[in-house]
Amino acid sequence: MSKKTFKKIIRSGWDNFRRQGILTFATLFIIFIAVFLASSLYLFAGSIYFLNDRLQERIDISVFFKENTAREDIAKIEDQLRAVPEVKKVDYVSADDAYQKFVQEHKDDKYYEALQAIEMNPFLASIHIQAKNPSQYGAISTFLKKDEFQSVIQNVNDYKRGTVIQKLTDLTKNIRTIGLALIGFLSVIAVLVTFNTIKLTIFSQKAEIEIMRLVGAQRRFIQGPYFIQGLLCGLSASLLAFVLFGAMAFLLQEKLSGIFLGFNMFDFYKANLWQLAALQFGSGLFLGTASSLLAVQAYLKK
Amino acid sequence: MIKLENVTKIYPLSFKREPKVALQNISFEVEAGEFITFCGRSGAGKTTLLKIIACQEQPTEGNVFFEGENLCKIKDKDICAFRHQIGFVFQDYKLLSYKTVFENVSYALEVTDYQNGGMNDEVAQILELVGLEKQVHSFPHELSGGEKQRVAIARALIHRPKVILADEPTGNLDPYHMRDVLKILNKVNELGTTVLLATHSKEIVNSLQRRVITIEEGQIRSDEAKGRFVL
Repeated sequence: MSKKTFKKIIRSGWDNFRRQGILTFATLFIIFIAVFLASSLYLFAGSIYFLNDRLQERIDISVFFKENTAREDIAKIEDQLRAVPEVKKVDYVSADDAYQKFVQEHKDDKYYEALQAIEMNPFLASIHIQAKNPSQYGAISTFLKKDEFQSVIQNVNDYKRGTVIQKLTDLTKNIRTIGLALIGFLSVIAVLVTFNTIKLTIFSQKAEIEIMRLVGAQRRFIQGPYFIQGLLCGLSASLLAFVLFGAMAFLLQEKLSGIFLGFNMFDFYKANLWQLAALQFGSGLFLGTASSLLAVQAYLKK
Repeated sequence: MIKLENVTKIYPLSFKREPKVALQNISFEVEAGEFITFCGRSGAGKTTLLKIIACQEQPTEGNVFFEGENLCKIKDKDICAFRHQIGFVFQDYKLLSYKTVFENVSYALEVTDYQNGGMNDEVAQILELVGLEKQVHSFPHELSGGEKQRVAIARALIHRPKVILADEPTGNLDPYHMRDVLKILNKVNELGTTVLLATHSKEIVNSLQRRVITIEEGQIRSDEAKGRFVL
């Protein structure tokens, strides 16, 4: 193809994009919806992983020590626990720290008044253990029930852990599985709807394509401008989705953060800017060009 | 130049309906430079005949030759080159709606891989010839029926085709514009281009005083060198 022909095809595609107002708008809009949906699904996947991590972080085993247990004795147990391969993190909270934390959290309510009324610190020193994997809490719990620890341990707060931990583990697994399946399903739907809508809009061009064929236009002269038009629609739709998604993430970050256990959309948007841009522009350009090529192809048969 | 041998075209119809025979055993020859009018009622098979000559349809039986080449065996890649030798004019104009008058005409030249730098001048000249020099930048929806048909004629002529196929080109026009179109087709023919015109207009057929092939129910009823409307 000569440089002149190439320029003509690009010019023709640009003219079609400019002049075919309704067709361009319909194509651009449907690609925008698909790209926006893909971005939302990406965000949804990110939030699922975030929630999963947060839920796992919130699962722990708390060990409360008898009053007046020496800090050294507790430290020994901490050291032993840290040596257990399943243990990820061990945090010590002294009785005073627990008291201060309670005061901080309840200084404006009646619980604080009740605490003041008893004129003593009812809290016990404790350690909070997190496992590397939720399924390992059972092993840690068993480890803590060893006889040698029973002289200093008041109680191990795992009376409901057995079921709760298991349920939470199952729940996070299910959320991830269902979420990913939903993403896969919605992606397929989005691609199908977009392809068919663009095909329908180009089908309205059937008569034009027939005329082009009648005057002896070669395949590249017919397909080329539609390809460029699809490319421009995909590019514009992706750009629009990129900007609006960023604006939405910025404006809704605080509102949604409360709902999603602190998941900040805008931080996620900034942290994954390149992947998100690649997803948006990749999907937009693919949908625009592939669907226009496929649709024109149907009319290029003899 | 063009030769049809026992051409039959049958359109298979849907379930439980009889197939429609559009053309039956059509045979005739066209010499270079002839002006032939295909005359017949609506549905007689005139458009199908032009479509077969233009390689838009394939005959069910028979052969069509253009300058010795059998169009029934033409390869896909050669159809474009064949169509560059033909100019089309239709009753419904068939203009590209998103292109201007100038672009509609130049498009027919561009697709022939025209590399000569004078394309703009050639398009301007042909538009002047059909009296559309002031509507160069208009879009088809901004033109009247007669103007649209003149654009279609300009497009059909711009690449200097050997044959013009005109299917009811005056069907949507008033008598004034009809005469204009016929004048242009006559002029083109005088310059050596073969013209094949399909019409059901008695007035046109009688005014032309050229060869007339009358088609009735898909068959040739008469083929006269200086024919008249006989239906």
